[in-house]
Amino acid sequence: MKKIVLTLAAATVFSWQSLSFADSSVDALIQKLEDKGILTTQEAVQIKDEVSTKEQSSQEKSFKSLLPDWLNSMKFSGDFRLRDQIERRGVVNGSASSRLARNRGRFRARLNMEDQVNDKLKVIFGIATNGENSAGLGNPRSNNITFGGNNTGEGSFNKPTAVINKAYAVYTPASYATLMGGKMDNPIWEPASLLWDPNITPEGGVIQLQKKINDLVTPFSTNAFFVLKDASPSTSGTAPKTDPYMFVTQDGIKGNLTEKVYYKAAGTYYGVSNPSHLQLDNRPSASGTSGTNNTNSMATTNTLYDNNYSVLGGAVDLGINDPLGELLPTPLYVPQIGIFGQFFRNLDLSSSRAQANAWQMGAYMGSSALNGWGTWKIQSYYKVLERNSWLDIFPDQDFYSGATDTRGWRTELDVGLAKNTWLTLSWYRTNVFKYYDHLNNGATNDAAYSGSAPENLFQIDMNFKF
Amino acid sequence: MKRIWSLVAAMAMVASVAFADTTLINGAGSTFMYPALTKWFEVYSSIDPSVQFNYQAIGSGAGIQQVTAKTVDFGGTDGPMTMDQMTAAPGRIYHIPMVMGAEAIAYNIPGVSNGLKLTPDVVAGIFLGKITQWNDPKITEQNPGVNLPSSSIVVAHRSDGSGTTFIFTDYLSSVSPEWKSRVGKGTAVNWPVGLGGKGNQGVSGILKQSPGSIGYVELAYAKENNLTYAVVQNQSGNFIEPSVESTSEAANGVAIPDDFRVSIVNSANPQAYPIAGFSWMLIYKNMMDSPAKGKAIVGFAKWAVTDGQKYSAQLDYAPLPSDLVDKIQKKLDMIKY
Repeated sequence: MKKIVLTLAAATVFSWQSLSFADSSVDALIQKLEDKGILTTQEAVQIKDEVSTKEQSSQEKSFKSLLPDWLNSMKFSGDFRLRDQIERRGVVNGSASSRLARNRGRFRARLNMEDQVNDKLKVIFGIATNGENSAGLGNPRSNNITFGGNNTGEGSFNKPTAVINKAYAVYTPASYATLMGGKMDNPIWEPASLLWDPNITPEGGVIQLQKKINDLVTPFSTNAFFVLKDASPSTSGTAPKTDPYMFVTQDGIKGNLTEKVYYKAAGTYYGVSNPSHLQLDNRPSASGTSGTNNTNSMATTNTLYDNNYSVLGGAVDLGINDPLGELLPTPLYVPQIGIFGQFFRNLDLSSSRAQANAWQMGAYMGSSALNGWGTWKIQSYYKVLERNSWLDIFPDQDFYSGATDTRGWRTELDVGLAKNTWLTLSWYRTNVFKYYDHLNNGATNDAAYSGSAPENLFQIDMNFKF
Repeated sequence: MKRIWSLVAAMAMVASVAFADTTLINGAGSTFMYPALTKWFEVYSSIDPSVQFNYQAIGSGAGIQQVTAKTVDFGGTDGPMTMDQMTAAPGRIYHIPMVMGAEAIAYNIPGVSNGLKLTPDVVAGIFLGKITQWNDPKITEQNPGVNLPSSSIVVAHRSDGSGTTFIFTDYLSSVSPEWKSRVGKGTAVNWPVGLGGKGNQGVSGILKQSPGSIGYVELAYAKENNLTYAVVQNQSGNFIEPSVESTSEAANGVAIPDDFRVSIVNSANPQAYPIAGFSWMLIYKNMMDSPAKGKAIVGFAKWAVTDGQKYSAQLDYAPLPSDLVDKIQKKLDMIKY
């Protein structure tokens, strides 16, 4: 009998709902049945739950049924950044020609699409604004469009172009293994940008392994093969017949020493083959007036790479969650504080070549992610990239135009303003390495480095994520 | 004339109620404590009519995401936030225990009623896929006289991110080193075997339709749906039936840390049911940007952990221990609004 009453009650409620009465009316009916002792409290709660679930489910189904399966499984994301950039490069030994002072308005937009092809395979595709390089091609280190344009074909409100920023497949045959192929987000971990500009999306194949043993230790390994240039076969006698490529293996561990203390450390080897006597695209300008003429040692006409690169080193990040507990007044909350460092050395230099080290030390404090108003992060680090430590086509382009033979500070403050919206203030205080060496050696004439001068670069970014 | 004045007075009363200030509190997360919240909201609306609640039972994982993004005023979760999750939040988040509940290991074995005895080894073995038949000696030796068939075991688990899964995998990780290393604990894990069902309803559906199946559901849900469920051997070696009382025992003797993020699975208490857990409200300590909401949430939480407990007991939740309630109230007093 009770089952019949329950069924009737449920049916009444559902039919009531189907007549589009307000939820409060349904609740009132259920409440009345409960008050009269027809339903127990548990039954009333259960029916309310089912009514709510069915309503939500039917609304979702009716919308989703209009879309094809492949579209239902597709996810879109992206971001837009609006930037004011202030550049100041000082005068060296009174040479006014080396002075640089300009303000630039810039923007960057990126759109990503991700589709889960099946349980183990997904495809990611992304387009972005085209931060052209000097050849008018997609700059691998920047997607910025400068207001008014500064490259070929831009200016006077010309329409900038978009480029394929990434396109790759991710296959996960097991929970601990991931295979990727295509033009991808950089899979190599760095605690902060030392060797890699964060905009670079390398091309090739990657195998990643990661398996948590316990809270203390999770080993991880990333092994990548990147093609640097599709070199045309040559009969010149000195040019390689194979493509320049890079092999990377990064092996490390991460975990928690205590619940609050975390760490991540990895050793990385980069082997770059066949760059000798081959000009790679997108290296910093070799012009003496651009301030980047002290970059990698070059061979003929200062445009061809003369060294091989076998770069070995490591990185470590050590931090504390909630370091101050509730010592500070309520509005002051420090979620995280940490330090990090990296050191790399190019082992593939002849004895006559020096300047093979790259290193970095820094600290950070704040939120681990920016999630709206109240989240913030401040980070500062000092970085040195000696002349032949690393290929000058890869480092952070905002750090003295992305050249090697540079050193300096980068300080950045991020402040969450609203959901998916944050402000970033960045300050690069950089210089060319040799310039300091030159002065330290007592030289009074810096003519040999006429374009080399301290640079201050300020960026004010408004970031929007969707 | 008198009738007209009465009508005017009645209309004025209605209008005053309609235009009175109300504070709408939005919450999202745990399905585990949703029945308790629903009942509390209903009763509390007569205690403080100026507060209205809207809670979406979308799962603990989504609840954590939404409270972190501040798209809701509070979250609900059955698995405590990790340090990484907490440091990504735009402020300090308090975990406020609201209910304690048990999870039943429910099964559908034709001819077998409630009370099948399961040891931790057997439970882990089944969910690891190492025990595949009901008449496995490891099961039969604990259940003499029970006519267990030779049929295959069909494992059912949740396919969605769920605090219920967190509690169950937390239990398996605490009793089985192999489970801990191979699978671990979480709101969603890579299950070695089994069929996934969305929500308790999905798991229940698999259990009802598949003879030889076994899965985990909230105790209240198992009772409501007349599912048969097991008695589980605890750390002391006693086989314990899931109940309000045995869930209360699970919290007895457990040292509760100041942040209340504690697991009570596999309790050392001899009378404790071993698969039990807390559900927490996630509330920002700093609610000075919306003082009315802060006051309303704190007021509600204080009521729910005291007077409200008698209503949650009707829904098969265990009442919070009195010493814990004292601690919770002190913690709630620390919220600024």
